[in-house]
Amino acid sequence: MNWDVVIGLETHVELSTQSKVFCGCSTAFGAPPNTLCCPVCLGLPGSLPVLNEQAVELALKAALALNCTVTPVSRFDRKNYFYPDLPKAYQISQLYAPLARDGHLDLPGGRRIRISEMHLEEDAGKLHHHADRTAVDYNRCGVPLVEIVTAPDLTGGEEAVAYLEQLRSILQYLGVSDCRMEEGSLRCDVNLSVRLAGSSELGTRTELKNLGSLRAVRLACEYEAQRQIAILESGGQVRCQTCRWDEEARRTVPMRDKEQVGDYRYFPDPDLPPLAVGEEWLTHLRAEQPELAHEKAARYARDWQLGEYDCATLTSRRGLAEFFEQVVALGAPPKQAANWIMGQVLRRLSADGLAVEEIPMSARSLADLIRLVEQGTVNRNTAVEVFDAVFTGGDPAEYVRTHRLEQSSDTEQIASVAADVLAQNHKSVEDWLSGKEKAAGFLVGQTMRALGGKAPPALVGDVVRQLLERERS
Amino acid sequence: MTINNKTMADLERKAALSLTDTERAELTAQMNAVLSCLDVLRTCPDCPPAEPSATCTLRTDQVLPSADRAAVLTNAPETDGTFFLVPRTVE
Repeated sequence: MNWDVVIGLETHVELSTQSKVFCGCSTAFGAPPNTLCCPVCLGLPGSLPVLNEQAVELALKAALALNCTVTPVSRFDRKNYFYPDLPKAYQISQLYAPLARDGHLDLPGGRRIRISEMHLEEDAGKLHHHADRTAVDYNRCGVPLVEIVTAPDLTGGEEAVAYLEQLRSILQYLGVSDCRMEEGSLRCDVNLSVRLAGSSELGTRTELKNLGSLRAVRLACEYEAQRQIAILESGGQVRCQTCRWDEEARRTVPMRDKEQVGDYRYFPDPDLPPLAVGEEWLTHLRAEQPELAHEKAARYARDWQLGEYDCATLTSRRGLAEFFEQVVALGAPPKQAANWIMGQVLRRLSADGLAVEEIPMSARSLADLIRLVEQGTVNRNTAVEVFDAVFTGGDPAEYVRTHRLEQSSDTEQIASVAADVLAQNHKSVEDWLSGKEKAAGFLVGQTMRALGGKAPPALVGDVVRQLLERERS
Repeated sequence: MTINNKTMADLERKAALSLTDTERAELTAQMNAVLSCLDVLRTCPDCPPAEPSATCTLRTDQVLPSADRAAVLTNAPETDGTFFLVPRTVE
């Protein structure tokens, strides 16, 4: 039997605000436990939440970039549940009138994934389970999240990962979130079911949690699809369950029967009046929206004839794309700038353990260095040496000058050095005279070496050949 | 709506409670009494949806000092001075 896999994703994205969504506590990551708490995020009686404007603005930016319709007046609801990660015993979320609805995201291959809705909510605390006690840290409680829910449009683990990569790129470009999965600022739950190929009826779904990386998302989707198919093919029924991904065992483990929406006894939060978003605010945000990765990639290909791989690599992070554009704006040929950034800059960032936002070299330095190569002042190998020297700061031209690295195009000087090399390598000269062409390459190499690499290889080659021809006559 | 045995069993599970038969009967009666108070709403005439009389006040994204941890943990039933401690609870 052939089966289709049907996946919908619920992605929680931590918004890049300084303070929490309903109080002034910091959202800093990694503070000592329970030091970023106050009566509001602890849910103490008498305290009242006040909504953070920046959290709304960041969520709206995401909503517009994902082509959603923003709800003019959205509302907050209480999602009630019994679990110690929230001291109030409810989470402030949005069920009945979420912030935005009916958007879409286009995957690089062109497939359109529908976004059903996006809503604002608060994060919960962190639990540490010990032998007989669970220790609770409420620092993360109240950190602003936007939850982005897709329609069941994804067809497998690979596509789910492609969606998340595209979503992450958009959100990072917008400055909405840093989307660091390892710090939990982008988390996703997968809803997965299978159905006979071609059927239009959805099967019973399971929800997969604890997916800490894109790789985990892909593996969990693949495992769970096979698990459900095996159950159905043996005549069984899939249970509507919430499952946890066990990274070590590489399998999904059922946790509990999945809650239905009624189980959470949602009701409007009486502490928060409705949130009104006017058209003026949206117009302002639309005007501010930066060029996104896929738009940049299309422009690089169109205007600068860069290949697909170059475009994808350069636009993978906003910081890298902006650095590249600055180098080009300073006069570097786009293809040369692309090669230097994808080769040397990424190599050094990786070696130095730096993020692309932390490139210590200025765009001006790299543009100057590329110009030195283009003008023939230094050759490529020397330029890499200069690059490494000035990567953390310094002027390439000055470095070349003070270290006397300029290429010499002085033919007489080259001829004098080459003549010495020929004199010291009689055997190679004789080999060349007897027809062994390779011997010339050796002599050119030796001459380049004697010149300390500071001469254009093509010119050195010409000079050596002229001298060899003279030997023949 | 009334609370029957099935609803009560469901609520018990979600609230992680285990009740004796006597407690269950008593709570069921009490909850049904509370719910019956809401029946008065059914006697209200239908009205058109009201426009919200106020909308959310927004605050600037500014970090304010958090409470001192010792104060935060004051009301914890159990603590080790760093964390709130609760009976081991794993989903």
